[in-house]
Amino acid sequence: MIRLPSLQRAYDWYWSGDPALHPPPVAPAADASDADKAAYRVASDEYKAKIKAARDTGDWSPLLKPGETPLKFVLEQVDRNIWRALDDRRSLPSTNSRHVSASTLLGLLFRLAVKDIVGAEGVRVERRPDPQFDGWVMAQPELVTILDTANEDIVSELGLCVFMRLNETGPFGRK
Amino acid sequence: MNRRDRLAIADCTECQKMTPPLQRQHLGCGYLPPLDDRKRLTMWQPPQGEKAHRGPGATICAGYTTKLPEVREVQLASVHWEAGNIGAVFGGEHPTEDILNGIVLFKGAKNEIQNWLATPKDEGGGGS
Repeated sequence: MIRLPSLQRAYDWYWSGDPALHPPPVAPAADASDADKAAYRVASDEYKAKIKAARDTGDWSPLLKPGETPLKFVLEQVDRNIWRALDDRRSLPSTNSRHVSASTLLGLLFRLAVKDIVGAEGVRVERRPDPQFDGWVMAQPELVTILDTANEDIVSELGLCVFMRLNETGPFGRK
Repeated sequence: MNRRDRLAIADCTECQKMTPPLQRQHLGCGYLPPLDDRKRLTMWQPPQGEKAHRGPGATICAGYTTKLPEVREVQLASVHWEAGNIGAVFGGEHPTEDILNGIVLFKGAKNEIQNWLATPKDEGGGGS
């Protein structure tokens, strides 16, 4: 059972690189034939469309390998007041101590959104105020380290997804 | 709206079974990669014009977008908003800013089509 995408409640998300999901097509070698390169482009576009549709609709079944269960990330809505504050901080000059870089922003958005990880043995999400970031309640910073150890793309991808939802590129987006 | 548009908008599962992928791409199917050339889209569009929709045209099939969980959530919230009881939908929680923005967009689109329907054809509307 998966919680569908929501603008109000918690929702479930998978990382596209999870081994329980069908992988993206493998890029051909630089000296591959034009036909192989064209076939890769088509397959890659189809794969991207499947991922996008799964994120839009909450139906991941076309991407799931039979009998396998991916890690499920339970995400909650990020308070838009916190998002605005973060958005301001990322626009500060990099010399400013309150500046938030792009990679830090993605990690923070992931920590602000993640509520639970289902299927990760021994990994527990502990949400608490972080004094380093104005006391905003978010997952512990160690969680990013643990996930980065498994694969650095997890936090970046999920953080980017949260960013895109907040940045109004979703169904109601103005961009 | 023709028969093909009706099928595409009414039932995504049935449309995927009955419509070849290339044709679905022309219809702006959200399950398939977008066409490189958006001018080749032959999908249903809301009535356009001075008395109708004046915003940009749709680029994804309305059958796909109107069934998205977040769109349905806003639609449901909108019904209860009109009845003054939006709290009932979310277990007493205040709606998020995104839900409220969604309601504004949904009601705006609904008013647009209602105005178009109430305007006679000779004045640029779709009414009698």
